[in-house]
Amino acid sequence: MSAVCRTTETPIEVSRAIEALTYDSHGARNIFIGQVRNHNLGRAVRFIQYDAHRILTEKVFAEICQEAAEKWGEDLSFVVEHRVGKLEIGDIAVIVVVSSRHRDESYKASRYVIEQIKVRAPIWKKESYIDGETEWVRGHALCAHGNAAHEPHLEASGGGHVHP
Amino acid sequence: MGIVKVQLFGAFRQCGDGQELAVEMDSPMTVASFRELLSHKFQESVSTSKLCAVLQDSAVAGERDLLNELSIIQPGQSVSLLPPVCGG
Repeated sequence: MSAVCRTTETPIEVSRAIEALTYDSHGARNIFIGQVRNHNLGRAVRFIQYDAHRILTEKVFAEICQEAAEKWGEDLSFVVEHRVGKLEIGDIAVIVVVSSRHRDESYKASRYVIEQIKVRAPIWKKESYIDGETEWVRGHALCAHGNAAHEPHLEASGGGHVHP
Repeated sequence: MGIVKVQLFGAFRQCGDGQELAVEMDSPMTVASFRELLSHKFQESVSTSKLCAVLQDSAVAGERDLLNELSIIQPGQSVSLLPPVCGG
């Protein structure tokens, strides 16, 4: 198993991430790209800002990749990159590339990685809306005792929203 | 009396200087007790009092690992305060 895990302040280069995993024995490369959309829960988003504990995030990425390899094959290889800082609509926030012998494990591992990132990586998102307001999206508690462990929701500057 | 430096992330960046918050501590205490200490500190200001609910759902981390509620925080130590996450 090999994994390249990083956070970056610069735009994510998709081709570089894909080409980093080139193995003659592998027949599949699965690519997931998460990008910034212009709406969330009925609100028009102007841009977002990602904050992260970068050391812990990269450590968590590596742990998640190792888990995926233990589930679906030790010969899987990964590239996981997440951008931090200000992102405009359409910008790539995260990329997960999984290389494997066959497509089945690459699909499964890719899905696992991104789903785990969403609930385990110490990354936070602040949305800036067209109406001028901003909100830190609250999300999933990392601590076992937290009430929000299974009920992600927004930390709003005024009023609250439920984030499905 | 000592100082614990709390690295701030996410919604907590509106505290302190946006990067770090200095918390005075008389003696070592558990993460759970430190959380209560922070809660009292947040309640000193209207702008930070609304963060108390988030604080209850936040994790505390050392240099490279999450700390559990019984972990001991020492005066002079640096920890990170991690609100509920939403990356990806």
